[in-house]
Amino acid sequence: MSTITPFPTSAPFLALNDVSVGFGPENKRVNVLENTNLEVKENEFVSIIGFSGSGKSTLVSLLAGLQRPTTGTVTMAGEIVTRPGPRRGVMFQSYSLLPWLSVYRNIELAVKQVFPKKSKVELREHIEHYIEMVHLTPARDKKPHELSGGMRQRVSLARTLSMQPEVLLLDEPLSALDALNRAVLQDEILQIWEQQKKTVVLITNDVDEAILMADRIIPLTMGPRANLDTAFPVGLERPRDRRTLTENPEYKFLKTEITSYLVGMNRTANESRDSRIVTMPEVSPRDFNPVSKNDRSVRSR
Amino acid sequence: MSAKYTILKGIDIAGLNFLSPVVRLATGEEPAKQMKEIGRLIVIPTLAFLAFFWLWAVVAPKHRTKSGEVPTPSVVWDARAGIWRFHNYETAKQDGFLLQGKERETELARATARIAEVGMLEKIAREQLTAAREASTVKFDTTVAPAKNAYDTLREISRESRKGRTAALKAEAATLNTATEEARLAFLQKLRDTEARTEIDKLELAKLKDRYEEAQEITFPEVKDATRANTVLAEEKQFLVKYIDMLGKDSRELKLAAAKTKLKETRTSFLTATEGDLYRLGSGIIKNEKFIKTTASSKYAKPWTLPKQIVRSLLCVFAGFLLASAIAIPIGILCGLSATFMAAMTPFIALFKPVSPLVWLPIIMIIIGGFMPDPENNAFLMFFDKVPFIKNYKIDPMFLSSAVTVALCSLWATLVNTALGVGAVDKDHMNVARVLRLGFWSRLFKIVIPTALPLIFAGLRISLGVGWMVLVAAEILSTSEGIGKFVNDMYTNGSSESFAQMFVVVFIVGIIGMLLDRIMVVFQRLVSFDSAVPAG
Repeated sequence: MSTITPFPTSAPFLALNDVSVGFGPENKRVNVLENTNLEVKENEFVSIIGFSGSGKSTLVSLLAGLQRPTTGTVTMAGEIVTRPGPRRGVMFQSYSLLPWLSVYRNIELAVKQVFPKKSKVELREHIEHYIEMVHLTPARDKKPHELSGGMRQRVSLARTLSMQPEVLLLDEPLSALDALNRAVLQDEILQIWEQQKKTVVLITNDVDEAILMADRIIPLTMGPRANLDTAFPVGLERPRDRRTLTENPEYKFLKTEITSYLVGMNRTANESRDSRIVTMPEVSPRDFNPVSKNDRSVRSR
Repeated sequence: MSAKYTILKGIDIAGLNFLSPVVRLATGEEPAKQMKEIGRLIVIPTLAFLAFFWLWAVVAPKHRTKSGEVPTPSVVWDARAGIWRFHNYETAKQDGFLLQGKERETELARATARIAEVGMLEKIAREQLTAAREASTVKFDTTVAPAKNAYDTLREISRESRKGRTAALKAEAATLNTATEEARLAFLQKLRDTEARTEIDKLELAKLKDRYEEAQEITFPEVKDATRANTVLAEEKQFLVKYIDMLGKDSRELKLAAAKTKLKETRTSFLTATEGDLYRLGSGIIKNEKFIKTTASSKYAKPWTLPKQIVRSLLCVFAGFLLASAIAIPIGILCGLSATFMAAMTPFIALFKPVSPLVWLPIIMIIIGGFMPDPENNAFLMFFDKVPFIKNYKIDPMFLSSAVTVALCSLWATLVNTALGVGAVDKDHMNVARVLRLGFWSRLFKIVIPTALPLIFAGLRISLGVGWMVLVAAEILSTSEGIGKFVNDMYTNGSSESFAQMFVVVFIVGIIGMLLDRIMVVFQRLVSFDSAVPAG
């Protein structure tokens, strides 16, 4: 793994080449992804945005090597990806921490496997460094069920980073969190990325998140037969500050642009679908006595 | 404060939830709420138990069997004491046989003093029994005699009146040869009426007879108690007589001493005799030497007592349980990992799971008998004779058969649960393993087994419960020493006391089963990482 030949920065570091993923028998195959192409440069932060069910997770599985494409190839640094490995660290939406292991042990599992030659002391320093990086040192020996959602995702982030991957694949890592936690973690991820400069592919359904974090935003068209469309480059200067960003005209322009693109895509998708309109029975609410605003039972809720 | 929560957590893990309101109340936490909880978790179950005992005490004596009345709770309680006494006597004899020197003499003196005491007590008890019998005879006469009189009188009266009626009818019948049809029909009616009268009399008689018999069967508690006291004393006396023999003339020490003296004599006469059969004297010496050797290592042949049988049953169920786990967990893991292997195993599981232990046992006894045609000299069995503690419980082919039967009947729950647990591994966890490129064994031990552990333990808990139930049945059938053998012996014995002792066994088996289940619940909770395990 250490003998990586220097890679021309202009060439794509991570790429999908005419990739299709389908299921079902050959004559009646349904493609989730069809003739998809993607080129990510080294140290680039790319965000892929799309509606749920459009095949975003399939895309991550392909990039990670967890799934093989039906046709086409996935390449990383010019080599065809055939199986998952620690060079491409994945952060899953569901944290996927082992519930019977403490924060430390969860990370240890990854570090021991990826760096088997490290001595005991080096191992501990390495693990504690990454726990510190995500500000979890006080929760070092807690089990996942004793942590909040945000803390769990931090552990997951620390575990992924501790493998020192060349590519970070983030599969909607923040979508299960509440808005506050999400903002905090976004900032943390950005900060870490700016320090370490890794190639990142972030899958999301949040336009703000994409604009805040990515260099390029690539929309995924509606599945089945989803495809990656033309990218929206994000030219905003880094480091980006979420407090001033909303005032930035380019931010406003991009947000309107991408949102209207997505809304338009949704509309066409709905129109192209079989229009089976089911008339619903008329259900009007029964005439209850209006509850007084001063009613105690209402207030107490 | 933290000590309180440690205790509460411990209670929760042990599944003894009824204790937690007591602890909370003791620390003054929401007394009203805790009292309510205590009412629900402690008072209500206690009341239910009392109601059960009351119902039992009322209903049991109503049913008579060839082993006497169905025992009431108090009789069962006495039977428990009887079992314990027997155990203590036998243990005392065993220990007494080995006592030596001063110790033996003091113990002998103590036993001799006690037997005199028991003799006195017995005399008093016998007098009391006689008194009770006399008192009860008076009572018996006062209740039974009137009933008997009433019955006898009515029987006499009804017999007389029937005779009279029959005679009258016969006389009338004699005059009917010339009578008209009408008169004859009237006579027939009279006959019918008389018959009906007789029936009524019979019913009344039967009623009186029932009352009389009921009165006869009244047993008097004073007599019962006096008899029981007598039996207990007689038992003790019988024991003491034996015990004194064990400490005295039959003790190992005295026997050895006697043999040694004799050996000396024979030796002297062998060496100095100028005439006589030297061959006979010489072989006498050798015989004596042999006798001394065997006596020096001899022990009292203690019969099996229930406490020892219980320990053997527990050993047997754990042997079976370990065997079941050793088979079921690996196969269950393979089933969970490979759909193909699961498909291969499914028919076997479906076919063998419902087979009763009573079918397995004879088959296994024959198979094990085939492996051990000579159990006395079998190397495998002789190995257990050297293991401390276990050597006291005589591992024989019957024990092994029972253990294997337990294993065969109980392994299914663990197998199925393990397969389920292994099959339920989170897909995301597997993806993590793939990204990390964990090898097969790492995946198995770091991800698959930890995930499956709570379900494996749930299976083990069911297995142990099933095993315990199967074991008693297996022991009854195989007559392997243990609780089942005890029940079988009591059944064959057929006395009313052994009938009550079988009830004691019900409670012992129940309590041990409950404890085993509790232990497994604790294990199950310790290996579960988040969700609580139902205690029920």
